[in-house]
Amino acid sequence: MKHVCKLLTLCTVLMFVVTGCKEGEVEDPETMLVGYWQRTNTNQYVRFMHDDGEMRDGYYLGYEWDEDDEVYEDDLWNYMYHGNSWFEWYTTVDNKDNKLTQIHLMDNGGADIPRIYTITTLTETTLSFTDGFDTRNYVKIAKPQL
Amino acid sequence: MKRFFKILGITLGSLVALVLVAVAVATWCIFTPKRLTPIVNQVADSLLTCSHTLDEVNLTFFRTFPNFGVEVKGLYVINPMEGAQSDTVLAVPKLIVGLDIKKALDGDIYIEKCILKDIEANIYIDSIGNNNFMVWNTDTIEDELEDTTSSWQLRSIGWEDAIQISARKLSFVDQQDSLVAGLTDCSIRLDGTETEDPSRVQLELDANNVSFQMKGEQYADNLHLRLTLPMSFQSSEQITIDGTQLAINEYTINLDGYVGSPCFASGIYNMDVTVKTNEWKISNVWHLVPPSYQSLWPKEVDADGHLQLIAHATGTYDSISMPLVDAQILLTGAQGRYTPLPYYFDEVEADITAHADLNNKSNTTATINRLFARTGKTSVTVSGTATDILKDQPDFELSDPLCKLKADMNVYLPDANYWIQNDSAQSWVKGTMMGTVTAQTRLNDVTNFNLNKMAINGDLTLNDIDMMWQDSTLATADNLTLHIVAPKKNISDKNILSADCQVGLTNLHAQLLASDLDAICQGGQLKAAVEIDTKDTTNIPTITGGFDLKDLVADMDTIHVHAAAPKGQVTLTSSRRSKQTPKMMLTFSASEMQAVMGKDMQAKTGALKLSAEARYNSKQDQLLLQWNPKLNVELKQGEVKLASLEPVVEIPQIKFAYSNKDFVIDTSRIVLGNSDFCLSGEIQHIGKWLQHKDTLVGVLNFTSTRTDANQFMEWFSAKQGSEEQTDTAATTTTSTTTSPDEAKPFLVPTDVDLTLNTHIDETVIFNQVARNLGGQIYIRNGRLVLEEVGFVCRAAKLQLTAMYRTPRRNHLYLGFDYHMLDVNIQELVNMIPGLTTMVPMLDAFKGNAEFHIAAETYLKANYEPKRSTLRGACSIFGKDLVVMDTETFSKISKLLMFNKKTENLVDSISAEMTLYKDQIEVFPFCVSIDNYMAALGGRHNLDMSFDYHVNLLKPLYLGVDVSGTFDNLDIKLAPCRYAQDFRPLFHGKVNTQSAELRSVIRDSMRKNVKIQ
Repeated sequence: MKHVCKLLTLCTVLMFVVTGCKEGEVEDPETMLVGYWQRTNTNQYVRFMHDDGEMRDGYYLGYEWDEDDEVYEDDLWNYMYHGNSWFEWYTTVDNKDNKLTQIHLMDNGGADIPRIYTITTLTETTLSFTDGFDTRNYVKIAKPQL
Repeated sequence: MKRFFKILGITLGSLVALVLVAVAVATWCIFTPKRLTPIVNQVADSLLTCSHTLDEVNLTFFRTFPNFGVEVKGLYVINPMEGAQSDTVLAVPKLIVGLDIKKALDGDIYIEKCILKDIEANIYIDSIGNNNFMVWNTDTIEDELEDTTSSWQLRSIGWEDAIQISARKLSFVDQQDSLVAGLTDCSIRLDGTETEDPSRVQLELDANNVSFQMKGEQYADNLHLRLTLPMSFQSSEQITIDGTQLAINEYTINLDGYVGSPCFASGIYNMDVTVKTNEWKISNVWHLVPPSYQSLWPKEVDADGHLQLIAHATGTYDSISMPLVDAQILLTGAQGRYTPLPYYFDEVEADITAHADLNNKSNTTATINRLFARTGKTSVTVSGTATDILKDQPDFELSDPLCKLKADMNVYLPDANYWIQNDSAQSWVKGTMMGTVTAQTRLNDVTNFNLNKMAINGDLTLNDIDMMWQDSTLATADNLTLHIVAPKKNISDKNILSADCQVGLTNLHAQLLASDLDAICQGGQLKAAVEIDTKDTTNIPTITGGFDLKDLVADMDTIHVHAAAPKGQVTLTSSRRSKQTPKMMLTFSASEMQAVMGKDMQAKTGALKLSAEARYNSKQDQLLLQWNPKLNVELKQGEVKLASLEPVVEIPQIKFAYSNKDFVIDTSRIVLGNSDFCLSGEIQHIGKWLQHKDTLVGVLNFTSTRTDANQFMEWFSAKQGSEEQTDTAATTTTSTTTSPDEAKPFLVPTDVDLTLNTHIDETVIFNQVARNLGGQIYIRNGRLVLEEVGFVCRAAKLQLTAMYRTPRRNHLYLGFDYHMLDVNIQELVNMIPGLTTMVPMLDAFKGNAEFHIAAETYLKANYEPKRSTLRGACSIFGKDLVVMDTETFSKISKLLMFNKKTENLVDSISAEMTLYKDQIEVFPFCVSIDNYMAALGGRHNLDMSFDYHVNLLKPLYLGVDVSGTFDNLDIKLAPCRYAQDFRPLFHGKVNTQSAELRSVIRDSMRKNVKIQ
C-alpha cells in the first residue's frame, strides 16, 4: 500500500509536470506579445499594444506594416489610424493551444476581417504563429528606425 | 487835334486881327508902309507879350484888286523857352489879305483873299504845362472885347476866295503829354466859295513828311498826308462831313456823316460817322504800324492780303458816354503761314463785324460772318459770335470773351499728318473728313486748354480712312461718321470734362501690329462717353463705350475671334472705394461667336449674353484676383475644343454667374466626350482659395443621361499628392519613392470641398455600365468619395461607396464598399476586375446572387496594389445556381462520380471570404449538387496557388484535399473536417468558431446596405 501511495504520488507529480509544461503553451501571452516585432528576413513589422490605452470595442489594438511596400509606421498614425493595417487582437486558449485572434480593420469600415492563429513560440525575443497554412516567425525589436 | 485847332484858330484870328489893324492903319494913315508899319508894330506890341518883329505893312490895291488889301512882310513872333524846338513861335514871311472894306465897316469881315506863304510855326508845351504860344496880352484883348462903346462890332467872318496857307514847317511838342508832331511842305486850303451853300466849307490839306510821336512811340514818320474835308454847317450843333477823304500815302479813308457839338468848348460832341477804307495790302500797311504794336504780332505769323475796314460811329462823345461803333473788317486774297507749322494758307478770307458799346460794355460783340482758310486740300469755314469782349471797367481792357463758333471742315487728312508724326515711330493718316463742329467756350479756356469748360458738338464724316499710329496700329475704314457732344447731358459739375461720341462705321479694319491683332468690322455703331475729373487728374476717368456692330472679326497672334452682330457696352471708371482703382463693366451679346486660340483651344457659341464687372487690384499677382471679375454669362450652342482635352466640349446651354466669392451655375447642359450632363449649383470662396487662404467649397448638382467616369478620371488629375501638398517633409521623404516609370496618378486636391449630387441615367466606369446612378460624390480633405451611390447595373440593384485618397504620389488609397442584390454572377465577374483573383471559384457558378464586397488597398503611383495593405471581404448568397463545366469541376465530379448533366444545379450557396494581404481565405461553405452535398473551404493565394479541403457529406462521407495550382493539382483523400459544421444532426457538434467568424464578416458587411 505504501508503494502504491508512493507510485500514485509520483504519477500525480509526473502528471502535473507533464501537463503543466506542454509545448507551445505560454502563461501570459498577452503581456509577452506587446511590443514591436519584425518578421524574419523581411521589412515587415507588427506592433501589439496592450497597456497604452489604444483599445477599440474593448479589444487591444495593434498594427502592421511592410516598408518594402513603402508603408511606414507614421502612415498608420497619420491617415490610416484605426483603419487599414490596424487590427484588434486577443488571445485565447483552445485545447491548451494559445490562440491569437486578429480582426483586421479597414479604412472604409466595409468589413471586419478575422484571422485566428495558433501561437507556436512566444518568448521574450521570438514569436511564431501559424494559421494551418502558413507560419510566421518574428523577432522582437525596439521601435524600428526609418 | 483839339488843341491844334485851337492853336490854329487863335493864330488865324490873330492874323486876321493884324490884317484888320493894318488895313485900318492904311486907311487912316495914308496907306504908306512907313506910316502903317509903326502903327501895326505898336498894336502888336500891345497885343503880344513876347518879342516880335514886323518888317513891313503895306496897303495893297492891285494885288487884291478890286478890293484893298494888306500885305504883311516879315512877321516873326519870338518866344524862347528852354527845351523848345525853336525860339520862333511863328514866322510869316508874307501875308496878303484882301478885304471888302465896305462890309468890314459894317462889322462883317469878308476876306476877299488870304494868302500865307512859307509860314513856320513851332508850338511848345513843357512838362509842367507852360507854353510858348500864349503870348497875348490878355488884358488888352479883354478890354477890346469888353469895349461895347465902340461903334464897330464884329458881326461875322466870311471869305470869298479860298484861304491858302503854305507852311514850310509846322511842329508841335508837348512834353507834358509826350507828344511830338510835325510836318513840312504843307499846303492848306480852306475854301467856301465853290458851292452856293454858304454853310459849306472844304478844307484841303496836303502835307509831306508828317510825323507823330507819342510817349516815345513813333506812330507816323515821313508820311504823306492828304485830307479833303468838306464841312457843311447845318447848324452850330452839326457839321456834315460827307465825302471826307483822308489819305495816308496811298491808303485812303473815307468818312461820311456829321459831327457836332452844342458848344465846342463844352467837350460834348455828337457824331454819326461812317469810315470806310479802301483795300489795304497788309504788307504795305505793316510799316505804318508802330513798332510796339508790331511786336505784339507773333513773329511766327507771316501773312499778307488785302484788308478793308468799314466802321460806323454814332452817338455822343462826352465825359460820360461814348458813341456806338459798328465795324466790319474784310480780309480778301490773304495768304500766309505760321512758321512752326508746315501749313501755308493760300486762300484766306474773312468778314468780321464788331459792335462796340463802351457805355454798356456787355453789349460789345463781335461776329465772324465768315472766316475761310484753305491749306493744301483742306479748307475750313468758321462763323460765330463773341460776347463779353470788354471788361466792365473804365479802360478798354479785354475781358474773357464768350465765343460761339461753328466750323465747317473739309479736311484732307494727310494734311493733318504733322500732328501725329514723330521721329521715333511712324504715324500717318489718309482719307477725308467733312462735317461741322460747333463750340461754345471762353477765350481763356481755349488758351488754357480747359477742355472741361468747352461745349463742343460735332458731326463729322470720314471717308476712305487709312491710318498708321505709332508703328503699331494700322486701320482702314470705308466710312466713319462721328457725332461728338461735350459735355455730356446731365453733367452739372464743371470740373468734369465729359463728352459723348457716336461713331457709325463701314468696313473698319484695324491691326495692332505689336500684338499682331487684326480686327475687321463690317459695319455698325459705336458710342463712347468720357468723364474726366480735371480737379484731380489722378482719378480714373469714366469711359463708356457702346457698340452695335454687324460683324466683327479679330485676329491676334494665334487667336482668332469672330462675332456676329456683337452688341454691348464697356465702361471704365473708378472704384467707389478708391478713385484711383480702375473698375471695368461690360455687357456683351452676340448672335454667334467663334474663337480660336492657336492649337490650344477652339470655341464657338450660338447666342451669347455676357455682363461683366472687374475692379483692378495691382497688389494681386493672379489675373482673377487682380481683376476680381463678376460675370453673368448665358450662351447657347457652345462648343469648345481643347488641346489638353481630347473630346469636344459641347455646351448646348449654360447660364452662370461668376465672382471670386461665388460661382453660381443656374442651368447648363454639357456634352463632354461620352458624357452628357447638366450641371447646376454654387461654388464659393474662389478668391480666397486662389490666395490659399480658404477652402474651395461648393455643391453641384450633376444630372446626366450618360457619363463616362473613366474619361473624367483621366482628364481631371491633380499634380501632387495631398501629403505632398501639406507636408513638405513628407514630400522630401517620399519624392524619391516615385515609381520608376514616373506614372502620373490622379491626385485629389486638399483645399477643395466640393459635393456633387449626382443623378446619372447611365455611367461607364471601368468596363461596366451602371444605370440610375444616384448619390453624392464629393471631394473633401483630399478625398474623392462616392458615398452610398445607388444604381442599377445589368438589372442588379447596386450600392457603391468608394473612396480615393492620395496622401502621396506613390501612396494612393482606393477602397470601395459594394453591395449588389440579385446580381448575375458572370456580370459580377466582368464588372469587378480581379474579383476572380479574390474569389476564384466564382468562375464556376452561373446565376443570380446577393453579393457584398468591401475591399481596399493602397496603390503605387502606377496603381499597382501594395499587397501588404490589401484588405477585403466578400459575402455571397445565392440559390439555384449552376456550376460551370470547368476543368477543375470536371476532375472533381469525375472523382466523386457526379451524374453527367448539362447543367449542374446547386440548391444554394452561402459563402464568406476574406482578403488579407495576398491570402484569400474561403470560410467553409456547403453546396448541394445533384444528390451530393459537399462542403468547401480553404486558402487561395494571389499567386494562384491554393489549398482547399472538400468534403462530400452526402450520400457518403469523403474528404479530399485539393492543393497546388491549376496546372499542378494535388488531390488526395483526407478526413472530413467540415462534417461537424454542416451535418450537426449526425455529429452533434457545431464548429462554432467558424460560424462566428462568418457571422462577423457577414454582419459587418450587411450593416452598410441601404438599398432594398
